[in-house]
Order: sequence, then structure tokens, then C-alpha cells
Amino acid sequence: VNPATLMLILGLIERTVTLAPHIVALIRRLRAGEEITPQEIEEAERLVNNSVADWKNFKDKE
Amino acid sequence: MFEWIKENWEHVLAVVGAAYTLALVIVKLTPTKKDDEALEKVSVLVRALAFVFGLRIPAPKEPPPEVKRRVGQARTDAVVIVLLLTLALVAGCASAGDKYQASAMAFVSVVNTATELNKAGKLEPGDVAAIDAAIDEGHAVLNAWAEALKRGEDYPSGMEVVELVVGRIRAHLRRE
Repeated sequence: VNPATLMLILGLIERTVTLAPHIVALIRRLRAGEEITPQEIEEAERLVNNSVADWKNFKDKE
Repeated sequence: MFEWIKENWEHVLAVVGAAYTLALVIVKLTPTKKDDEALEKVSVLVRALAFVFGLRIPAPKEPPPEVKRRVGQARTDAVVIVLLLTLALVAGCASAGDKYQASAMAFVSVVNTATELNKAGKLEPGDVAAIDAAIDEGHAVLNAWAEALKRGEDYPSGMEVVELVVGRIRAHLRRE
């Protein structure tokens, strides 16, 4: 595994680990039968916006 | 022991999923078939474990033999476990808010993968442009959906559109 591939793997793992707590929270909420709160909507929005911004930032640098 | 697992099953599933994801990436990077076969056996166990704890994770579909997988596709598989988990949740979701949150996570997951692949120089310029357009579309729908939820309204076609967008992005992460 060359260094670039290793960096790619680490990047993907980091992103997956970052997302995991949100998935766990969703599973728990579903099992508890609770409705999504406005704060959770905003948190999901923030995740989406950050993800899109990260994509755009790198793409625009190219 | 079983009681402990039952009480902490979300974390067990998250750890197993993370370990499986890591193994999946490493196995896909190696040319041998033996470790692929070994991992397939593990994936059956992961799906069985998920089923025991109330989630149905469908088996990943094999690509047709004429389709050559490239490095990018192998990396895309790194988020398959997250996507499958999310899709399994979507199937059981009842409210618009649940569907929004699950769709948002599936979208974030695939956009993150595309970003990492682009940073690693694994995407062709044509793919980057197509993915960018799909990301814009998905982003706009998710924003409108979130605004509708805040007003106490539903966004009926949101999940279908985001699923299509995620599918389009994933299609550009593979070479045929």
C-alpha cells in the first residue's frame, strides 16, 4: 500500500467514524419512536453543508 | 454478556461496521481472491448480527463480470456499510424527519467519498463535473426539505430524489 493510498484509506475512515455517531443517534431515536427535533434537523443540515463545502473547496482549487 | 450486547447494540454495530469497512478497503486493495472470499463470509456474519438486533442489511449486489472495477470503486465500497445501514433504516422509517435525516447521511457519506477520491486524484475531469452537478441538485433538495420540515411541512419526493442523486454520484465513482 503506497502512502497516497494509505492517506486515502485514513481519510475515508476518519469520515466514516465522524458520521457513525449520527447514525447511532438516528437508530436510537427510531427505536425510541421519537420525532426529529429542530436541533437535529439543523445538525443534519450542518453536516450536509460542510460536506458540500469540502467538495467545492477542493474542486475549485483544481 | 448477551444482555450487555443487547443494551449497547448500537455501539457494537458501529464498531463492527467500522472494522468491516476497514477490512473491506484493505481487501479490495489487494489482488488476491482468497481474502475477498474470507471477507464475504464475514459480511454474512455482519448482516446476521444486524438482523438479530433489528436491522435488515441486504447483501451487496455483485457487478456484472464485464464491468471492470477500478480503484475508485473499491474505495466507494468503504461507505457501502454506512449506505446499506442508512437504506435499511429508510425502509423502516415512518416520519418525514426520519427520512430526511437518513437521506442526508447517505448523501453526506457519498459526497465525502467523492471528495476523498478527488483529493487522491482518482476521478476523471468529466466525472468531477457530473458529480458536481449531482451534488448541487442533492444539496438544493436537502436544503428545501429541511426548510419544509422547519415549517412543519413534508417534502414528499425528497427521499426519491436524494436516492437518485446518490446513485448518480456512485455511478461516476466507478469505471466501466
